[in-house]
Amino acid sequence: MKPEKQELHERARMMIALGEEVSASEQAWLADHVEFCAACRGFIEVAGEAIGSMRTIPVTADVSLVSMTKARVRQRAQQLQLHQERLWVISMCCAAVTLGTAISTFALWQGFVWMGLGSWLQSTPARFGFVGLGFLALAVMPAVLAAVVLLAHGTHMADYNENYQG
Amino acid sequence: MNAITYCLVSTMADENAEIARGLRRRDPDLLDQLIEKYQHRLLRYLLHLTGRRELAEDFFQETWIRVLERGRQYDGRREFSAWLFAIARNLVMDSFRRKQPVSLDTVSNDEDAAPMEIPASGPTPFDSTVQNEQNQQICSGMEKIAVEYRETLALRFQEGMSLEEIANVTGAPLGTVKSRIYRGLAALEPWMKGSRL
Repeated sequence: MKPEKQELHERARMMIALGEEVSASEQAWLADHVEFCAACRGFIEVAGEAIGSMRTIPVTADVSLVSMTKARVRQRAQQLQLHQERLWVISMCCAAVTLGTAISTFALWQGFVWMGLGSWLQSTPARFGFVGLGFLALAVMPAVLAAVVLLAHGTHMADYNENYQG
Repeated sequence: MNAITYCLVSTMADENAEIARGLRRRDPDLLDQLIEKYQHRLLRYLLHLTGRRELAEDFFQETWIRVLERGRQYDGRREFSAWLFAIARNLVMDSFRRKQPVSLDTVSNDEDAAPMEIPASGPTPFDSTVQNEQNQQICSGMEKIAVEYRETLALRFQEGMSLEEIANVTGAPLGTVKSRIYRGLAALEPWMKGSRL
C-alpha cells in the first residue's frame, strides 16, 4: 500500500476511534472515505463491537471489600481528627506559655524595681529568695500548667501508640 | 435543550462543590456514600491498570484513604471522578516506582501474571452468551495490549470520560490520548475478529 493511502486509512481509523469528538467536516470526509474503503468499514464494525463489549464487561466490587474500605476510612478519619485535636491543644498551650512568660517577665521587672527602691530587703539571701520565688511562680508555672494539660489529654500516650503500631 | 444541559451542568457543579466541602470537613458519611457510588468504576479502572484483582483491591482501599487525607486539595471545579482516578493512578505509579524503576509500559504486561478476572454472569439466554463470549475475547485482548492503551480505552469507553478528562487523569497530552485510543482499538482488532469465528 502506498504511504499516502496508508495515511488516509490511518486518518479515517483515528476518526472512527474518536467517535463523536470529530468535527462535522471531518465526519463528512470520513463518510466519503468509508463508502469506498471496505477495510475501514470493517474497522468501524470491529471498533463498535469492541466498545460495546467494553461497556458491558461486568466488574463488581465485593461487599466485603467495600465494607472493609469504609471501616478503614472511618478509622483513619478518627486518627486524623485526634491528631488535629492534639495539635490544637499543643498550639493553645504554646500560646498560653508565651503569654505567661511575657506577663511574668514584665511582673518580675516591676518586682526588681520595687525591690531596688525599697529598703525592706536588705540581706542578699532574702533578695535571692524573692527572685527565685518570683521566677518560680510567674515563669515556670505556665509551662508546668501547659505540661499538665498535655498530660491530661494523653498526648504523650497517643504518640507512643502511633510509634508502637508503626 | 440548552436549558436542560445548563440544568445538568449546574447540578453536577453543585454536586462537586458539595463533595469538596464534605472532603474539607473529612465527613465520614460523605466518604461512605462516595465509596458506594464509585466502587465498581474505581475497581474496574484499577483492575485494568494493575491487571490483578488482589492488587486492584489493595489499591482500592489505599485510594480512599488517600482521598480522605488529601481531600482538601479537591476544589470541586472539576469532575470528582477524574480527580479520584488521578489519585488512584498516582498511587499505583508511585507504588510500582518504589518497588522498581518502571514505566507504565511495563506495569502488568507480564505473561506469567494471573489473568484479569472477569466474573462470569449467571445463566443467560443466547444473546447474552454471545455477548459473554465477546466479553471474554475483549478481556483476553485487554490483557495482552500495552497498559497505557488499556487504561485509555477503559477511561474512554467504560468510564465515559472526555478526551480532556483522560488527559488530566493520565497527565498525557491530548494528541497522545487520541493516538492511544486509536492504537488500543487497533490492537484489539485480532481478538474481536477471533470472537466472530
